[in-house]
Amino acid sequence: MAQLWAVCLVLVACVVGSFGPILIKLGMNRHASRKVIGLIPIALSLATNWRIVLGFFFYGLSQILFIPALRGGDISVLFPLVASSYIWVTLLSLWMLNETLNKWKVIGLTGILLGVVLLGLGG
Amino acid sequence: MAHTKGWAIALIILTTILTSAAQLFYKEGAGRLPEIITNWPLGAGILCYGIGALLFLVSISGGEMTVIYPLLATSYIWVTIAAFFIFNESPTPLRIAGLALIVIGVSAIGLGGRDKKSATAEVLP
Repeated sequence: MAQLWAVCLVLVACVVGSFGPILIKLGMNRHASRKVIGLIPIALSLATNWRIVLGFFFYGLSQILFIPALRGGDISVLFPLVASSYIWVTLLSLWMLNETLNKWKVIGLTGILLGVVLLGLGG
Repeated sequence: MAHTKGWAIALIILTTILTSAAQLFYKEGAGRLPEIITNWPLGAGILCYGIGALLFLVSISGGEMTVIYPLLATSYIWVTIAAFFIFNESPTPLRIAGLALIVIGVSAIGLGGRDKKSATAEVLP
């Protein structure tokens, strides 16, 4: 199955990594409000956007944490845990981005989660 | 913004193709380590990831995270197809069923992005 430390590490990695996209979205909102024009100014504005930089850092950190965790378990357990990041990001989006759910999003999320679990079991 | 633009969805699907290709390049490149300078698969993988990250940035400004992020699951489709046809892994019934569910789920998410009534305030904390 999977060792406990690997499961815990993947869960921590998922939660940390889920803040990444949220921060990036907040950063892009801020960037859009600055109304920057031109390739170089846009590049500079993005590179100095601390939310975007931190968001990618959290995402990269979570990916790095996954690597040793993958050695501690097989994908039938780890796949669903990684897929749980979809739930975390959705919940964080509802909370921090003021987004809302509708029936299609719920159906879609459920299908994706079930699909990933089956993929993990079948591989 | 409430409605997730079509171009944002197209961009995120393109991102998943790039990141899936990047994973395949990494797999090949890792096999060639410790070779670095002439390790073109490794370079191609990094390039694909980098472009994918940029496309993700652009895409997320055109839609909701609750729509865009689950669409990243499309990469499971590409990677599994590659596993079947490039690496000759066996298409077990569970994997086929899983793929089908992901396709259905991704399609449903796409429909979920069309909802013009869901109000999202422009959040700038």
